[in-house]
Amino acid sequence: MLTFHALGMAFLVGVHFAVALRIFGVAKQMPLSPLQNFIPLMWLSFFLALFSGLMLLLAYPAKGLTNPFFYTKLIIIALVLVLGIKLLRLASDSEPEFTGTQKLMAVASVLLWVSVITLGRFLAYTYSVLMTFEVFY
Amino acid sequence: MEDALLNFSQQMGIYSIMNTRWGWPIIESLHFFGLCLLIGTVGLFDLRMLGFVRSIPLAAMHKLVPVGVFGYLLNVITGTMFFTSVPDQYLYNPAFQTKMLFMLGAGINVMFFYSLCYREVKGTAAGQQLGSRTRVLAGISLLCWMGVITAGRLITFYRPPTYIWCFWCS
Repeated sequence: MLTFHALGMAFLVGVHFAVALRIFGVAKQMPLSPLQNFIPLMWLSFFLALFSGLMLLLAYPAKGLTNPFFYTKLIIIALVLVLGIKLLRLASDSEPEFTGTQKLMAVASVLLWVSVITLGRFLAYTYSVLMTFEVFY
Repeated sequence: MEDALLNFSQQMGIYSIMNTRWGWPIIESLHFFGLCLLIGTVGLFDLRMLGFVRSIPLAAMHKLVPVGVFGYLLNVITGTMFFTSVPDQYLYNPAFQTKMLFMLGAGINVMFFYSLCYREVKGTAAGQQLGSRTRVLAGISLLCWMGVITAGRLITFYRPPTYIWCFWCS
Protein backbone atom coordinates (compact mmCIF):
# COMPACT_ATOMS: atom_id res chain seq x y z
CA MET A 1 0.00 0.00 0.00
CA LEU A 2 2.87 2.36 0.74
CA THR A 3 4.24 1.50 -2.69
CA PHE A 4 0.92 2.28 -4.38
CA HIS A 5 0.74 5.50 -2.39
CA ALA A 6 4.23 6.48 -3.57
CA LEU A 7 3.54 5.59 -7.22
CA GLY A 8 0.17 7.38 -7.21
CA MET A 9 1.73 10.48 -5.70
CA ALA A 10 4.66 10.38 -8.12
CA PHE A 11 2.43 10.40 -11.20
CA LEU A 12 -0.15 12.84 -9.82
CA VAL A 13 2.43 15.35 -8.59
CA GLY A 14 4.65 14.64 -11.59
CA VAL A 15 2.02 15.60 -14.17
CA HIS A 16 1.05 18.61 -12.05
CA PHE A 17 4.71 19.71 -12.01
CA ALA A 18 4.92 19.36 -15.79
CA VAL A 19 1.84 21.60 -16.25
CA ALA A 20 3.15 24.11 -13.68
CA LEU A 21 6.58 24.20 -15.36
CA ARG A 22 4.97 24.83 -18.74
CA ILE A 23 2.85 27.67 -17.34
CA PHE A 24 5.95 29.08 -15.71
CA GLY A 25 7.68 29.18 -19.08
CA VAL A 26 9.73 25.98 -19.38
CA ALA A 27 9.42 24.25 -22.79
CA LYS A 28 7.49 27.18 -24.30
CA GLN A 29 7.24 25.58 -27.74
CA MET A 30 5.22 22.74 -26.25
CA PRO A 31 1.49 23.44 -26.64
CA LEU A 32 -0.28 23.27 -23.29
CA SER A 33 -3.70 22.04 -24.35
CA PRO A 34 -2.61 18.46 -25.25
CA LEU A 35 -1.38 18.10 -21.67
CA GLN A 36 -5.07 18.06 -20.74
CA ASN A 37 -5.13 14.54 -22.10
CA PHE A 38 -3.08 13.53 -19.08
CA ILE A 39 -5.96 14.51 -16.77
CA PRO A 40 -7.34 10.92 -16.68
CA LEU A 41 -3.87 9.75 -15.60
CA MET A 42 -3.96 12.37 -12.83
CA TRP A 43 -7.35 11.19 -11.60
CA LEU A 44 -6.23 7.56 -11.74
CA SER A 45 -3.13 8.44 -9.69
CA PHE A 46 -5.23 10.51 -7.32
CA PHE A 47 -7.63 7.66 -6.62
CA LEU A 48 -4.73 5.21 -6.27
CA ALA A 49 -3.16 7.51 -3.67
CA LEU A 50 -6.55 8.11 -2.00
CA PHE A 51 -7.41 4.40 -1.84
CA SER A 52 -3.98 3.34 -0.57
CA GLY A 53 -4.04 6.26 1.88
CA LEU A 54 -7.41 5.11 3.24
CA MET A 55 -6.07 1.57 3.60
CA LEU A 56 -3.04 2.87 5.49
CA LEU A 57 -5.37 4.89 7.72
CA LEU A 58 -7.50 1.80 8.29
CA ALA A 59 -4.43 -0.16 9.36
CA TYR A 60 -3.49 2.36 12.07
CA PRO A 61 -6.52 4.67 12.48
CA ALA A 62 -5.42 6.32 15.72
CA LYS A 63 -1.91 6.98 14.38
CA GLY A 64 -3.14 9.47 11.77
CA LEU A 65 -6.30 10.74 13.42
CA THR A 66 -4.49 11.90 16.58
CA ASN A 67 -1.81 13.73 14.59
CA PRO A 68 -2.45 17.41 13.73
CA PHE A 69 -0.05 17.04 10.78
CA PHE A 70 -2.54 14.61 9.24
CA TYR A 71 -5.38 17.17 9.19
CA THR A 72 -3.01 19.85 7.91
CA LYS A 73 -2.06 17.52 5.06
CA LEU A 74 -5.74 16.92 4.19
CA ILE A 75 -6.50 20.65 4.13
CA ILE A 76 -3.52 21.38 1.88
CA ILE A 77 -4.53 18.53 -0.47
CA ALA A 78 -7.99 20.11 -0.78
CA LEU A 79 -6.40 23.50 -1.56
CA VAL A 80 -3.97 22.12 -4.10
CA LEU A 81 -6.73 20.15 -5.86
CA VAL A 82 -8.78 23.31 -6.34
CA LEU A 83 -5.70 25.14 -7.58
CA GLY A 84 -4.76 22.23 -9.84
CA ILE A 85 -8.19 22.12 -11.47
CA LYS A 86 -8.01 25.89 -12.08
CA LEU A 87 -4.55 25.56 -13.63
CA LEU A 88 -5.71 22.77 -15.92
CA ARG A 89 -8.64 24.93 -17.06
CA LEU A 90 -6.02 27.48 -18.18
CA ALA A 91 -4.55 24.75 -20.33
CA SER A 92 -7.57 24.81 -22.63
CA ASP A 93 -6.88 28.44 -23.58
CA SER A 94 -3.34 27.47 -24.63
CA GLU A 95 -1.96 30.98 -24.43
CA PRO A 96 1.66 31.38 -25.41
CA GLU A 97 2.35 33.71 -22.48
CA PHE A 98 0.77 33.66 -19.05
CA THR A 99 0.09 36.51 -16.65
CA GLY A 100 1.99 37.02 -13.41
CA THR A 101 -0.98 35.82 -11.35
CA GLN A 102 -1.18 32.60 -13.30
CA LYS A 103 2.54 32.00 -12.89
CA LEU A 104 2.18 32.72 -9.19
CA MET A 105 -0.59 30.12 -9.00
CA ALA A 106 1.69 27.59 -10.67
CA VAL A 107 4.50 28.28 -8.19
CA ALA A 108 2.06 28.18 -5.26
CA SER A 109 0.69 24.81 -6.36
CA VAL A 110 4.22 23.35 -6.59
CA LEU A 111 5.00 24.63 -3.09
CA LEU A 112 1.73 23.19 -1.79
CA TRP A 113 2.57 19.77 -3.26
CA VAL A 114 6.02 19.96 -1.68
CA SER A 115 4.38 20.65 1.68
CA VAL A 116 1.98 17.71 1.17
CA ILE A 117 4.98 15.46 0.50
CA THR A 118 6.85 16.82 3.51
CA LEU A 119 3.84 16.49 5.83
CA GLY A 120 3.23 12.97 4.54
CA ARG A 121 6.82 12.02 5.23
CA PHE A 122 6.65 13.67 8.66
CA LEU A 123 3.57 11.60 9.60
CA ALA A 124 5.93 8.65 10.06
CA TYR A 125 7.97 10.62 12.62
CA THR A 126 5.46 12.76 14.51
CA TYR A 127 2.75 10.38 15.71
CA SER A 128 2.09 10.25 19.44
CA VAL A 129 -0.22 7.22 19.35
CA LEU A 130 0.47 4.13 17.25
CA MET A 131 -2.08 1.52 18.31
CA THR A 132 -5.74 2.45 18.69
CA PHE A 133 -6.08 0.91 22.17
CA GLU A 134 -3.51 3.42 23.45
CA VAL A 135 -6.15 6.14 23.06
CA PHE A 136 -8.22 4.57 25.84
CA TYR A 137 -5.42 4.37 28.41
CA MET B 1 33.33 -0.73 2.83
CA GLU B 2 30.82 0.32 5.48
CA ASP B 3 33.55 2.07 7.41
CA ALA B 4 34.70 4.01 4.35
CA LEU B 5 31.13 5.11 3.54
CA LEU B 6 30.39 6.03 7.14
CA ASN B 7 33.67 7.89 7.34
CA PHE B 8 32.72 9.86 4.21
CA SER B 9 29.34 10.73 5.76
CA GLN B 10 30.99 11.91 8.97
CA GLN B 11 33.76 13.84 7.20
CA MET B 12 31.27 15.67 4.97
CA GLY B 13 29.04 16.58 7.90
CA ILE B 14 26.21 14.54 6.37
CA TYR B 15 26.11 12.23 9.38
CA SER B 16 25.41 15.05 11.81
CA ILE B 17 22.65 16.49 9.57
CA MET B 18 20.96 13.09 9.26
CA ASN B 19 21.05 12.54 13.00
CA THR B 20 19.27 15.75 13.96
CA ARG B 21 15.58 15.59 14.89
CA TRP B 22 14.27 16.56 11.43
CA GLY B 23 17.28 15.87 9.23
CA TRP B 24 16.27 12.47 7.92
CA PRO B 25 12.57 13.26 7.16
CA ILE B 26 13.47 16.57 5.46
CA ILE B 27 15.99 14.85 3.19
CA GLU B 28 13.37 12.15 2.51
CA SER B 29 10.89 14.83 1.44
CA LEU B 30 13.47 16.31 -0.94
CA HIS B 31 14.10 12.82 -2.30
CA PHE B 32 10.38 12.47 -3.07
CA PHE B 33 10.29 15.94 -4.64
CA GLY B 34 13.14 14.94 -6.98
CA LEU B 35 11.32 11.74 -7.85
CA CYS B 36 8.17 13.66 -8.80
CA LEU B 37 10.23 15.97 -11.04
CA LEU B 38 11.73 12.94 -12.77
CA ILE B 39 8.39 11.18 -13.30
CA GLY B 40 6.68 14.41 -14.35
CA THR B 41 9.23 15.11 -17.08
CA VAL B 42 11.00 11.91 -18.16
CA GLY B 43 7.98 9.74 -17.26
CA LEU B 44 5.59 11.86 -19.36
CA PHE B 45 8.15 11.95 -22.18
CA ASP B 46 8.22 8.13 -22.06
CA LEU B 47 4.41 8.01 -22.16
CA ARG B 48 4.36 10.29 -25.21
CA MET B 49 6.94 8.10 -26.96
CA LEU B 50 4.86 5.03 -26.14
CA GLY B 51 2.02 6.64 -28.08
CA PHE B 52 -0.09 8.45 -25.48
CA VAL B 53 -1.16 12.05 -26.21
CA ARG B 54 0.46 12.10 -29.65
CA SER B 55 -0.59 15.72 -30.22
CA ILE B 56 2.39 16.83 -28.10
CA PRO B 57 5.45 17.60 -30.31
CA LEU B 58 8.36 15.59 -28.88
CA ALA B 59 11.14 18.05 -29.70
CA ALA B 60 9.39 20.75 -27.64
CA MET B 61 8.58 18.32 -24.85
CA HIS B 62 12.25 17.34 -24.62
CA LYS B 63 12.87 20.80 -23.10
CA LEU B 64 11.34 19.40 -19.89
CA VAL B 65 14.04 16.73 -19.61
CA PRO B 66 16.71 19.01 -18.02
CA VAL B 67 14.27 19.53 -15.14
CA GLY B 68 14.12 15.75 -14.77
CA VAL B 69 17.91 15.60 -14.78
CA PHE B 70 17.87 18.19 -11.98
CA GLY B 71 15.46 15.93 -10.04
CA TYR B 72 17.72 12.97 -10.70
CA LEU B 73 20.82 14.80 -9.43
CA LEU B 74 18.89 15.97 -6.37
CA ASN B 75 18.05 12.34 -5.68
CA VAL B 76 21.61 11.14 -6.21
CA ILE B 77 22.75 13.68 -3.60
CA THR B 78 19.96 12.99 -1.09
CA GLY B 79 20.19 9.23 -1.76
CA THR B 80 23.93 9.30 -1.04
CA MET B 81 23.13 11.08 2.22
CA PHE B 82 20.92 8.18 3.38
CA PHE B 83 23.19 5.49 2.04
CA THR B 84 26.45 6.70 3.56
CA SER B 85 24.91 7.53 6.95
CA VAL B 86 23.70 3.97 7.64
CA PRO B 87 25.59 1.92 5.00
CA ASP B 88 25.06 -1.50 6.59
CA GLN B 89 21.27 -1.01 6.39
CA TYR B 90 21.53 -0.55 2.62
CA LEU B 91 24.43 -2.69 1.39
CA TYR B 92 22.87 -5.92 2.65
CA ASN B 93 19.28 -4.90 1.91
CA PRO B 94 17.72 -6.92 -0.94
CA ALA B 95 15.28 -4.08 -1.74
CA PHE B 96 18.15 -1.61 -2.04
CA GLN B 97 20.11 -4.03 -4.24
CA THR B 98 17.04 -4.42 -6.48
CA LYS B 99 16.67 -0.65 -6.64
CA MET B 100 20.29 -0.30 -7.76
CA LEU B 101 19.70 -2.91 -10.49
CA PHE B 102 16.72 -0.91 -11.77
CA MET B 103 18.87 2.26 -11.67
CA LEU B 104 21.56 0.46 -13.66
CA GLY B 105 18.92 -0.71 -16.15
CA ALA B 106 17.58 2.83 -16.51
CA GLY B 107 21.15 4.14 -16.95
CA ILE B 108 22.04 1.67 -19.70
CA ASN B 109 18.67 2.36 -21.32
CA VAL B 110 19.38 6.12 -21.40
CA MET B 111 22.68 5.51 -23.22
CA PHE B 112 20.97 3.30 -25.80
CA PHE B 113 18.18 5.85 -26.17
CA TYR B 114 20.48 8.77 -26.95
CA SER B 115 22.71 6.76 -29.27
CA LEU B 116 19.95 4.94 -31.18
CA CYS B 117 16.65 6.82 -30.94
CA TYR B 118 17.28 10.47 -30.18
CA ARG B 119 17.61 11.55 -33.82
CA GLU B 120 14.32 9.89 -34.71
CA VAL B 121 12.62 11.50 -31.71
CA LYS B 122 13.87 14.99 -32.58
CA GLY B 123 12.48 14.70 -36.08
CA THR B 124 9.07 13.50 -34.94
CA ALA B 125 6.25 15.96 -35.47
CA ALA B 126 3.09 16.24 -33.38
CA GLY B 127 0.69 13.40 -34.04
CA GLN B 128 3.35 11.04 -35.34
CA GLN B 129 3.92 7.54 -34.00
CA LEU B 130 7.47 6.36 -33.26
CA GLY B 131 9.22 3.20 -34.41
CA SER B 132 8.92 0.06 -32.31
CA ARG B 133 12.55 0.19 -31.11
CA THR B 134 12.05 3.63 -29.58
CA ARG B 135 8.75 2.57 -28.03
CA VAL B 136 10.41 -0.46 -26.43
CA LEU B 137 13.16 1.73 -24.93
CA ALA B 138 10.53 4.20 -23.66
CA GLY B 139 8.65 1.31 -22.03
CA ILE B 140 11.86 0.00 -20.41
CA SER B 141 12.60 3.47 -19.06
CA LEU B 142 9.14 3.86 -17.52
CA LEU B 143 9.22 0.35 -16.01
CA CYS B 144 12.72 0.90 -14.60
CA TRP B 145 11.75 4.14 -12.87
CA MET B 146 8.58 2.58 -11.47
CA GLY B 147 10.73 -0.32 -10.28
CA VAL B 148 13.11 2.14 -8.63
CA ILE B 149 10.20 3.76 -6.75
CA THR B 150 8.72 0.39 -5.74
CA ALA B 151 12.00 -1.13 -4.55
CA GLY B 152 12.91 2.17 -2.89
CA ARG B 153 9.69 2.24 -0.90
CA LEU B 154 10.32 -1.39 0.17
CA ILE B 155 13.80 -0.67 1.57
CA THR B 156 12.32 -0.01 5.03
CA PHE B 157 10.75 -3.46 5.15
CA TYR B 158 13.87 -5.42 4.22
CA ARG B 159 16.30 -3.92 6.68
CA PRO B 160 18.85 -6.60 7.34
CA PRO B 161 18.78 -7.89 10.92
CA THR B 162 22.40 -8.39 11.91
CA TYR B 163 21.98 -12.01 12.98
CA ILE B 164 20.89 -13.09 9.50
CA TRP B 165 23.41 -11.45 7.21
CA CYS B 166 26.38 -10.89 9.45
CA PHE B 167 27.58 -14.47 9.96
CA TRP B 168 31.03 -13.19 10.86
CA CYS B 169 29.65 -11.10 13.74
CA SER B 170 29.27 -12.95 16.99
